[in-house]
Amino acid sequence: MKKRLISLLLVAMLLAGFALTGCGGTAVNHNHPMAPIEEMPTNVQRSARKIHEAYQFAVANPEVADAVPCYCGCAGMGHTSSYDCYVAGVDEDDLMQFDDHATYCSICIDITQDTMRLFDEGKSPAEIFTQIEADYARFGPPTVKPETEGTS
Amino acid sequence: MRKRILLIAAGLLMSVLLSACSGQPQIVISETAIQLGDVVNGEIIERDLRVENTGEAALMIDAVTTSCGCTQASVEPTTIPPGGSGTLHIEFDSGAHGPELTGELIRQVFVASNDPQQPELVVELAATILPPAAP
Repeated sequence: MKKRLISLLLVAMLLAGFALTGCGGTAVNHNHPMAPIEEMPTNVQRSARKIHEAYQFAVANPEVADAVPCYCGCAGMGHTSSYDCYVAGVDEDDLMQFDDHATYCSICIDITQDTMRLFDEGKSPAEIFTQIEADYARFGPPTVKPETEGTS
Repeated sequence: MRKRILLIAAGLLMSVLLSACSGQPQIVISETAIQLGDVVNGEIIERDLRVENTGEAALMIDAVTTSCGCTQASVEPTTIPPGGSGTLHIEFDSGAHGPELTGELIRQVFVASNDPQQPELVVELAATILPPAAP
């Protein structure tokens, strides 16, 4: 009788464990650095997961986000890469100034989510650029890097 | 005896399948690929599209979102009875990205509903943005 009770308890615990795992689902394993959510602006912290994840990624991986163009049309706003959809620059106190553009631009977010996935798959920035260009060029003109001095 | 059980089981299965197929809403939008043609940067383009429910249960519009802050969209009413219709109103602000933006653009409107066959229907708008007219 006691053995049966223990078996039942074990089964119940296992089931509860499965149920809890199913209810969780918020933990996502990334193979790249992510900026802490607490460092994001309040409106970003309160946004949908795919939005705040994109901000966290762009802030923590500026070299990757900066190598990827955006095709939402933000070139017209002076953006030169996907990074500019998230970060406007730094102020005189060297504090990061966020751009809220991506909070209402699903093209920007989709580009960054795809960038994150490709980066996790081990793709190089050049390969990510090629894939993003193939998938998003139809949406609008790309952001273009300004020519730096010495560049022909 | 065995035959009778098989027949009853088949009948039950049929009724379950039939009940699953009937009584569902079905969303139909009059146009899902809209060619806006040439649009001068700064123009605001509005379109009204007919949203029909050709199904047999009430169609509930859960959410209407867009690919860009430059595009606003809404459906009225958000519950459409079987055989009824509503309106998807779309407003595209071609100047939202600044006066420098020119070229071909695509914007998307996503209509999420309780239609099990098309839980998210996409309407695409294509436009060629021209430079704003000189003052």
